[in-house]
Order: sequence, then C-alpha cells, then structure tokens
Amino acid sequence: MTSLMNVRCLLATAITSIFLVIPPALAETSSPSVNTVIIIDGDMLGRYNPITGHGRNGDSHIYQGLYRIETGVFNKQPALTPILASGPSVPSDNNRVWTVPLRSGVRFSDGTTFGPEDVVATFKALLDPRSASSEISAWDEVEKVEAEGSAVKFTLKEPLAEFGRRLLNSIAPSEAFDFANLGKAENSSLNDKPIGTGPYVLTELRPDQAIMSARADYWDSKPQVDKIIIRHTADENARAQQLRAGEGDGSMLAAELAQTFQAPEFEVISVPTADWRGLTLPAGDPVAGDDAVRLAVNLAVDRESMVKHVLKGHGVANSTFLASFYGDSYDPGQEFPYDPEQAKKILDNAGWVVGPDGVRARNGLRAAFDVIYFPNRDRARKDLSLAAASDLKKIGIELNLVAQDSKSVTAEVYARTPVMLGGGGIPYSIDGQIYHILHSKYAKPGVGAKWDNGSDYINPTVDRLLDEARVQQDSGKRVDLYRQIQQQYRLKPAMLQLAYLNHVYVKRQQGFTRDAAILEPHTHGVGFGPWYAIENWQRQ
Amino acid sequence: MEWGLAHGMRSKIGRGNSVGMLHERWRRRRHDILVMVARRFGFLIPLLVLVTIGVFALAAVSPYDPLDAYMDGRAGELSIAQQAKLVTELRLDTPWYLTWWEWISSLFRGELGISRSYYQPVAQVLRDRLPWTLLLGVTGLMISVVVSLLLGAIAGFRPQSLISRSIGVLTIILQATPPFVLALSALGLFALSLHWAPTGGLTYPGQPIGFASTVRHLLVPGLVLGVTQIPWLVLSLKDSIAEVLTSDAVRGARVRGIPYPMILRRHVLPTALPPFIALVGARLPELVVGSVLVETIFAWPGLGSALVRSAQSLDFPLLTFLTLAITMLVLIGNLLADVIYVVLDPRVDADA
Repeated sequence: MTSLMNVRCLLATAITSIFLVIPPALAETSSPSVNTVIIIDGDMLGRYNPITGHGRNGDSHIYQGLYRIETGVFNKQPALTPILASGPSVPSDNNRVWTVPLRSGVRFSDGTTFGPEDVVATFKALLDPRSASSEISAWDEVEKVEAEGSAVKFTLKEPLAEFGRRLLNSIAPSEAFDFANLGKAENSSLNDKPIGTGPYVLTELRPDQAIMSARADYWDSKPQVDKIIIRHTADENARAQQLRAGEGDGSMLAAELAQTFQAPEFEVISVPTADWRGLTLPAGDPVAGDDAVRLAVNLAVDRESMVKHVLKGHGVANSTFLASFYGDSYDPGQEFPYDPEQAKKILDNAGWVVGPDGVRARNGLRAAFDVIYFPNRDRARKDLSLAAASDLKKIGIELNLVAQDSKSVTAEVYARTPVMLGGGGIPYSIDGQIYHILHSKYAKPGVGAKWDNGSDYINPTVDRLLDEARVQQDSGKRVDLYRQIQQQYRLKPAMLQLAYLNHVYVKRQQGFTRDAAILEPHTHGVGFGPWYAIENWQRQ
Repeated sequence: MEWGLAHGMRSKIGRGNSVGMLHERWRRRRHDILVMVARRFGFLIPLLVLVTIGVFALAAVSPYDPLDAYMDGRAGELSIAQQAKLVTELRLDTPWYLTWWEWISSLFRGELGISRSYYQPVAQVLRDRLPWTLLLGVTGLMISVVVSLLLGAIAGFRPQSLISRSIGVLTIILQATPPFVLALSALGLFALSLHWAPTGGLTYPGQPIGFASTVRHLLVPGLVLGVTQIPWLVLSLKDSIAEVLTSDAVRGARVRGIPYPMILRRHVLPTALPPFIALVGARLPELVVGSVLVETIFAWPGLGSALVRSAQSLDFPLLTFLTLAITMLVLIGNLLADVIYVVLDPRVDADA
C-alpha cells in the first residue's frame, strides 16, 4: 500500500507544482506596445496574392488598388477615392475604353518605383490562363490593358457604363511576374512574401500569426499604428474568449456573441453591407418556379421580423436587391410589403387549394419543396431558411430544409432545387450586383455561372432594361431605368430576397480615432470593418 | 513493523527478479521479435502504396468539388467556359490514376509537390506544423497514459470502493462530453477565470517562439487532448485488472499469504498491462486526428486541421502525404505495442 500512496503523493505534488509555477510566469504577458493592434482572424493566414483575390475590394493593408471605396457612406452610392490613380477614370468610345491617370512618386516595399507597367502586368497575370487566377470572372469583360504614357488604358469587349467602379483590386509589381514562363498563382512567391505599395509590409508569417509593420518609406503619411498583429483562430467562441482575456484587440463575431462585449472597454461595430441572403425559386421546380408561388412567397415572409429576431437587428430587410446604398436608383416604394392575406388570395386564384394537411396543392401537386442551405457558411443561412419555412407554412407552402455542403451542389441540382444563397461580391455598381441575378441570358443551362440567375428567371422587359442601363452614359437616365426594373420585379419577382446582412466586429477601445467602415461586399475579414483604414487611425 | 521489513526485502528481490526476467525473455525471443518487425516492414511498403491509391480513388468519387475549393467557395461565379479553362489549367480533369501516377513518380524524385489549400510547398506546410503536432500529441499522450494508469489502477484494485465508482462515473461523463465543450470549458477556466494560462496560439501576440512560452501555451491544450483520451484507457485497464484479480493465480497467491500490495504490483499489474499498452498503441493516430478540435480552439497550428482542410479541398499532395503519415503511425504504433506485448507477456507469440 505504501508504494501506491507514494505514487499518489508524488503525482499530487507534481500537479500542484505545475500550476504554482504558471501564475507568476504570466506576469510577463505581452501587450507589446501601445501602437500595436492585435486582430484575431478566423480565416487562415498567408495567400497574400493579388492574382488569387487578396485585396480584391481594396481591403489589403499591404497592397493598394487604383481606387478605394469612400468610407462611411451607406445611403447613396459611395464615391471612389483615387489611390494609385491620380484622378477619376475617363471613359471613351462609348464606355468601351477606360483611361486611368496614375500617381507618380509611389514606391513598392521592395524599393522599386510604381508605374503603368505594374498595373499592366497585374492585369496581364490576372487574365493569363497560365496563372489560373480565381478572379477571372470579375475581369471577363476586359479585352486588353496597355500603358499609355503615365496612364493605363483598359479596352473592354463590350461597353460597360460603370467599369471604373470595379478598379479596386490590388496591384503587384511587374517584377513579380515572369511572363516568359508564368507559373500558377498558387506557386507564386507573393503568397508568402507580398510586395505592395500599401502602408504596411509583412514582416513575419507563422501558421498562427502574421505581423504587418508600418513602412518607414510609405509614400503617404506614415501610419500611427505601427504594427498589426494578425492571429489566426478558427473557432468563433475561442476568438471571443481571447478578446475577453486581453490577448486580442478585435475580431469579427456573430451578432449574438458580439453583443456580449460592452462599452467602455469594447466597441461593437455593425457595418451595413451589400451582402444579401435570398432563396432561389428555380423554374426547374414546378412549385417554386410557378409565378403565383413566386409572388405569394414574397408577400408572405415577414422580413422586418427576420432582421429583428434572426439577425438581432444587424441587417436591413430587402426584397428587390436594390437598396438605399444605390441612392436614387432605389425605389423604396417597390419593396414587397408583409401581406400574407394577399399572398393567400394570389394562391387561391392560381388554383393552389389548401389540402387536408394544411398544405396547398394544384392538380395533385403538393405545394412543397426542398431548400438547400450551406451549414458550413454563416449561421444566418440556416436561421433565415427556418424563418422563411415557418412564415410560408402559414400560407400553406411547405419547405423542407436540407443541409448540404456547397462544394457538392451541382449545376443540375441548382436548376431544380431552391437554395439559400448569399451574394454581393462586386457590389459597387448596380450592374455588377443585379445583372447576373436577373438577366435571362443566364437562364439557359450552360450559360454563365452556376449561381447566375439562380431561379432561371425569364422576363424580356427586365432583360431590355438591364441591357439599356448597362450602356447608358447618362446617370439620370440610368437611375430611371433601374427604378423601372424594380417596378417590373415587384410584379414578377425572381427570387425570395430577404435581407442585406450587417457584418459585426468587436474592437477594443485603444484610444485611437478611426475612420468609419465602408459599405462592405460579401467578403469580410481583417481588411474590413474598423480596420479598413487603419493607416488613418490617430491617437486621441 | 515486521510486515514493513518483510515487504521491503521482498520488493527488492522482486525488482531484481522482474528486470532479469524481462531481459531473459527479450534475449530468448529476440529472434522472433526481429522477424516480426522485419515482416511487418516488408508488409508496410505495399500497404502504403495501396493507401495512396485508395486516397486518389476515393477522392474521385467524393462529393467535394476541387474547383470550388480552389475558388474558396466561389466557383458558382464562374461561367462554364471559365470553369473549363481553370479545370484544364489546374489539371483537375485528369483521371485519378494518372494524377496518382504523376504524384508518386514525383515523390520518388524527391518532390513533395505544392499544397493547393495552403499555396505553399508541402514540405513547408510540414516543416511549419509537424513539430507542433508532435509536441502536442506527445504531451497529450503522456498526460493520458500517466493519468489513466493511476486512475485505472486505483479503480481496478478496489472495484467496489466509492473512489472506484466515482472514477467510473467520471470517465463515462468524460467520454460523453464532446471534446470542444471540454476545450472551451478548459479555456474559460484556466485562461479567463484563473488567468493561469494563455488563451491560445504558440506565443503571446507578437512574441517570438521561446521555450518557456511554448510550455505555457502547450499545457492546457495538451491537458485537454490527454483528458479526451483517458476514458478508453481507464476503463480498459480497470477491466483487465478486475479480470486478473478474480483469477485463480491471484487467489492462490493470497492463500499462500503473499502481501496484497505485492500481489497487485508483481502479479496483477504486469498481467493487466499488456492490453492497456496495446490500446495506447492503437490510439496513437487518434492523437493526430483527434487534435483537430483542440487545434481549432487553442489556435494550435498542427496537422489535424491541415488534414481536414486538405481533404475538403482535395489537395492531393498534402492529403496523401498526411494520410501516409497517419497510416505509418497506426502501423508503427501497433507494432510497438505488439513488441512490448511480446516482451511483457510470455503467453503471446510473435506473429504466430
């Protein structure tokens, strides 16, 4: 017995001593310097390559684009601020050719001078099939990019009235591309060793931590925040714990988690976005694709209540994709009201009769359909799908939710099954936001992308208006065309668009004044939210 | 007093005897064991090749779309023509056996390839992560073995006692607790409430990697990983001890008046240990694969999360290499356990 007792004693002593040793050692915890900001990122670190989409929307701290979105503007179209451009882009040849004058005196972090050759090289690499860029869909309309003196000239395959609003992407130095034997972007040295013109340079990259330091030779005024430490933690709850324990100064969190952080220590920032969530109603499904059903479901969901309860107020109800951030082009009068009685009437008139089980049917066809949502994305997709199912049950339409990984949903499945989609990847022009959702040229199988016109919606009037607006040079006439599109959509909707989400960030108060956030696209991350313009933060 | 003396004397003799016995047993069976090891290694190479073929073949029928993974979930934005262009450029349309052949021939040239999910050479992904995986895994293993030995022995030696029953209940609760709940609770307790440990990562933000800070960052994730492995081991040890305790040999020893503690140490434990060791060996790979959740919550940059990521992206160079590594771990873990088993237990033949 004694020997067993001894072992037990020894172990107890060992365990106690381990824990006794730790607390004093903790005294030297970091919080390195007052001008350091620690951001905890759920996305993995690295891959700092413009060719594979890093800084696609001007959200890089290392690279810069020709233009950047103006901060703090949410109730009209935000303007563009020239960054590497020296002034606005100039369209010619009926919006088919766009010329951008460039800033001089800018240097990359490797000391080389910025010039038109860098813009040309970056776009050449984006368009070159050998680099297998993931960004090709964004630049499909570009035919060629050439230097013209100190400016850059973009020639498009077909006219685009708002092409200038897309030039936000990161520019890399021409030295980074060897066009004689260009390799895939995934093998590029830029992934780990980025070279940009931006205010920060990557000084350390570990799997769990990246450090970006302010450049002493930055062309504009040197930032006051001299170090950004980005820590990678995939789990959202763990990120919240790290913030609470003081091992981070900010992160992006789900609304419920974010609300547990309070002033004055923390600031919760809810940023309006162009990131929509809506349900496709594909023509390939005899129920969901029926015009009466499409119209009725749009009247039967209580979007305001979804925003209030499902999104905890962090979002804006929306039914026609156009929204206040598109300024005068948005007609709030064309939003679908919440009117379940009207919805029932529409279904009654169309011959959808309530059956004994409370679900409507027409000619033996039950008004029921599956809805696919992606459980591996944001939680809002599932919660909004559940809310929609509950609202639609009340008018006699049954939704069966199916969780499926987005990677395993084929184009054929998209064509027959409603999907809870999210979108708004390039939202800074109305055309970029809605053309692909509504134009019937994408309704045919094999045309356009899998997500384009997810409902396979065909409306010749809307097609004509979209095509006219796309090339219309007069902005007043464009406004009118987009308002007409909403009127048409109100009569014959394509999808069950529900809301624009807010992205929610939590940030520790560190005594800096900061710029407002921008209207954010579908993507998010440490380059957005309060950190979008971290180079402008000022000590109070 | 008298008992103490006798016990001390006997235990000294006993220790000398048992070491001598093991040495003798090893000498006698060395040839058998070496043959067994050689045979297993001979078997290893074709098996590993088969495993690589399996990975490529299974991936071909997996529902995951490698293009969507490459596009970070945005493949839906691509038109059919653009998709076709990317598929050709990334060679995603190559039949799986050709992809496999290309991969294995470049492996024999010493090239591990590029990981598509990390945009880094596979060698670099391994260099960045393997040491941390091993560190965490070994820490977890040691904690689980030590704690399970102790709890299992206590519970097994006195099967009817309150403490034994408490251990039983505790292990069943642990077994039923999802690892992420355990990890988040440990994080809340040790990092937030007690401030004994940091919340995650390899270092405090912005600090370079150093010995002291690594130990501090390793402790809680190591503990959680160890604790998740405990229930199996404790229950198995408890059961095998209980089985030996009721055996005729033990009853005979007690009849002969050998002190009970000595019976436990000299007879029961050695007989009950081999199955325990075999189980530890069999659960070695669990420490790599089972660490995924611990890694995710404690921001520990290990290979567990890399395995999941590479599988979801059909990142063959990395996925296959990690699968190979885990297969080897399984085989070597089992082999090690078997060798120890053969040395410890005279009743077992080496690969009969």
